[in-house]
Amino acid sequence: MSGQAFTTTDDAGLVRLARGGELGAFEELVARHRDKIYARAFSLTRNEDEALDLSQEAWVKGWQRLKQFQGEAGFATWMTRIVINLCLDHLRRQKRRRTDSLEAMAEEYDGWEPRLPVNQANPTEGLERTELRRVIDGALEQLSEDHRTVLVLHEFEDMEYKDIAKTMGCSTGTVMSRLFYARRKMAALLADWRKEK
Amino acid sequence: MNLEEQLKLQALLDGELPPAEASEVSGRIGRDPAAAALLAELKHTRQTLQQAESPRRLQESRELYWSKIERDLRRFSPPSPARSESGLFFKLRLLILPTAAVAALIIVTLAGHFYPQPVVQRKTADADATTVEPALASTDAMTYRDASEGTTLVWFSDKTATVKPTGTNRVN
Repeated sequence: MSGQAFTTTDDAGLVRLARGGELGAFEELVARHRDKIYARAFSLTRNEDEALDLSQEAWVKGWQRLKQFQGEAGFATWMTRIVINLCLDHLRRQKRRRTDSLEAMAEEYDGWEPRLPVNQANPTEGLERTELRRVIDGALEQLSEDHRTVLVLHEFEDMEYKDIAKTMGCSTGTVMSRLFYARRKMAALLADWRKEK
Repeated sequence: MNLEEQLKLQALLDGELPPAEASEVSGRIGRDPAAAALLAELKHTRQTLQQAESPRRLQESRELYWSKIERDLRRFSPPSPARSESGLFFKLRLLILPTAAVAALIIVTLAGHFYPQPVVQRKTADADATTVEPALASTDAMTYRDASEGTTLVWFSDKTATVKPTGTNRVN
């Protein structure tokens, strides 16, 4: 049966059908949540082609692991965790390949940043949402992978410190430190943007 | 403020500080303007990010996007349904398997008692050992193997008759 035939079935029902081997039900799940999964892959990789490939790989993994889905969290949340793990594995592999690069050397000092002055005012106050998103997107681009990842997982995925630490394979202290510097760097980037305006 | 104090301030903002520490850090914010300013900055940044994630949409059509996934999925069999460990079959299996194992053990023991196997002579001191062993227990067949000579002899006999060699096979 084509995925279009399942448009009125809810996620839980589609998962049940897909577990029984109904590919059309799974296609409908993909159609419903593909933008969210792709967006999360993009927010971590900052590369459209890689995000596309990783998001599709995530769906294949999701199909293979459907029997492990217990339904405590929503299906989209469960799929998001899969794509996050795939993206982090992908970024780790990339990092290993460029161990000699300057960027990697800079990342070695992750957690160390010059002391930034505290910005008293909110630099994005009064901005329209579209403009605000564009500015945030540009600022996220300038963060290191580790800083961006911890920020995405905490602010966009609402994950707690310990869950981020488990996902990223580091200590809770490292998560706290990365999150702190990521936020401070974001604040500085947004303040700079405001001054330029 | 040192880094540890700054991280505690952030943990307070994120609701990750234990209650006792939370009240201590909150008290500090009231007394220390630098701590209050840092907390305000962290709060602005968090709020800005939380309301401003750019929605990304796939440019590919539903059909095109799905076609690659489907191609990969067809390489795998459908996901097997989750096993229900409370099902009747599962409970029966728990009972049947140990019972069958015990029954098999009893049968083997009784068979050994009533139908003793032919004597096995085996010299295993070195790799060129000469062995005499039953080839087919049910037909009383015996083999003689001499690795140094590259020779194997096979006897076929019934229990009442005298053992006679019925064939040889040279192994090179």
